[in-house]
Amino acid sequence: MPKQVTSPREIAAKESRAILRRAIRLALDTESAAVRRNTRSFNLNRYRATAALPDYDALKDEARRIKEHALVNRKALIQRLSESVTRNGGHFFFARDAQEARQYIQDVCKRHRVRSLVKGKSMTSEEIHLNGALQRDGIRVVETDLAEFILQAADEQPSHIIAPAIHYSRERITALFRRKFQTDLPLDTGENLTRFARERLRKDFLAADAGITGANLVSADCGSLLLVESEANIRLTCIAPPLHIALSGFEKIVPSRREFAPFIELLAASATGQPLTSYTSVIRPPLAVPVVDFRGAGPATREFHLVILDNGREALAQDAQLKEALYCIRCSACLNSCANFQVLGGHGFGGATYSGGIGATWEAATTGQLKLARFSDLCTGCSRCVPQCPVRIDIPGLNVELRSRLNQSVPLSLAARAMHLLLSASPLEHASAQQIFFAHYDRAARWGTLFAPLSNFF
Amino acid sequence: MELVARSPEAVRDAVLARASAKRPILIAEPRYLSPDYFRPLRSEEGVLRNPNAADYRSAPVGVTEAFAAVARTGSVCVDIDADIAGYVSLLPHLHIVVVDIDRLVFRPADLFRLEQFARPTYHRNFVFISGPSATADMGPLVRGVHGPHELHIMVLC
Repeated sequence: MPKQVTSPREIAAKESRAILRRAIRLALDTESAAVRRNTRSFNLNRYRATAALPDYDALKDEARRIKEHALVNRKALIQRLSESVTRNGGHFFFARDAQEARQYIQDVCKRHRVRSLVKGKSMTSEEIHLNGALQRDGIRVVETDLAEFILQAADEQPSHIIAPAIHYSRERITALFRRKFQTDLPLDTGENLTRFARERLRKDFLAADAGITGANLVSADCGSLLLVESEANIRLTCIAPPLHIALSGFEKIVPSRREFAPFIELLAASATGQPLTSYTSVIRPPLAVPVVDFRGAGPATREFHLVILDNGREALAQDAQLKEALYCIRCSACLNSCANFQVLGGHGFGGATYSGGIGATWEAATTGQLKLARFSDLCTGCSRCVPQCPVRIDIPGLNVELRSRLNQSVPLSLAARAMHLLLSASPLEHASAQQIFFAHYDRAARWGTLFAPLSNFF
Repeated sequence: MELVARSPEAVRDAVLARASAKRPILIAEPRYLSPDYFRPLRSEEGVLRNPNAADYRSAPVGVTEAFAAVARTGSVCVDIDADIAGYVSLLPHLHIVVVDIDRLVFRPADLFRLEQFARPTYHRNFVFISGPSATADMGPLVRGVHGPHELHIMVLC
């Protein structure tokens, strides 16, 4: 029995190896079994789906090329997008950091006297800690993605990019809902749990004053959003409330709607392992379809705001070694295929927002704190994720780079200096005593041989 | 999915058979198909003309057209701002979608390759619908979450 129960929030920011160890303990004790089962099913489905794509490799090349070009041309694309959104009758805002993004969204909500809002799953909104800020303004914030709904009830950070509650077994969800919602309704099957959440959330959708979504891609030529989902919660979030706010990092911008094409099948195959998920929306808000007065608030006109976020991305784009991370389309194939992730999930192998091997760079870039990439230690460099990545990111390469920077940032310990003196002929490198020992194992072995008679004597 | 003859009466009969006793039925006015296809259906009892908020909340069946269908992914493409299709394809338990076989393409990318797609006004707001709403977040796969629990495609040919 562990002496004290750690909550996932406490170990979200992994600033030190000590916190990382506690996180690993938590993950192994309570989350590992569910993560193992769920990543396995993601993997089996992905193998099938990608094998069924007649041009899987060509799609990957095309997707990579689009992302590379878009990143080079980011300044022009952002400018073009802002013009398109304005031309469509929407409002465009470029937020340099999380604080600016939150403030803008809070101001829009205040102006509209928003009392309750519904949210589609958005990792970017997790990244800027949006919910807390809105709740402090007295707004009821309802996460409508069922996994996010679970996490909101549990007050936990996501443990996976597309299945944020991947660490929850059906049994643990039942126990959580019983405790949190104090209900006697039957909650002992997936159907019952889903029905319970659906009935609660349907009321919230129709009563909401605003909807907040992310975007899988955004097109600069006409301000279209690509939104991929299965539960229909994003479709409802976009259409039911009169006010729609979308939040996206600038790395999601591509030149035109035509560039959505390769990503549509590639994302579905890589993410959930389906030909397509139930709903892939291509929309250009504000929608033309009239607002139905579900709220009983009288007639309303639609309003749309697009918030495009930097928050460390520009610095990342200028970082020759790490900029590749910006090509990520958040499919999670790398997480599911990773041996360490399969055992730990993203609470062990991840930070406050982003998880897995790709998450270390994202966590460091969006927080501006290199030390929060400490969980990159869990990448063994085996490179099993590389062929799974739809945009061919060298994730182990990113982690090698992060670790080398992390090591440089920590002063050498006395033990490490001693070990270096004893074993290494090369110039002093930043590493722990343990790492130096194993890096120069052959020399250590020679010392060992030298002293063998001595140890035999004793 | 079923194949239906290209006649308004055949569409009416197929929809009524599928909806069985469920009423009311909501219909979105088609933008690409001839409006004639839904005309006989509109005069049936329990088919609503101008639904209000309460009707949207309770109607169990919605009928829309699709402007395209995608063979490889089993998808239909619905313009959500064609009349009230955005709601009709989303809120009811059963979504029946009617698409002409001439509108069939093989892959999603085939639609984006069309010359017209570069025009900003061409299908401003649409959705590839590839099944009923579904989730695996509660453990096993569950069909029927916030959108339709059932998707039925009628292919006119």
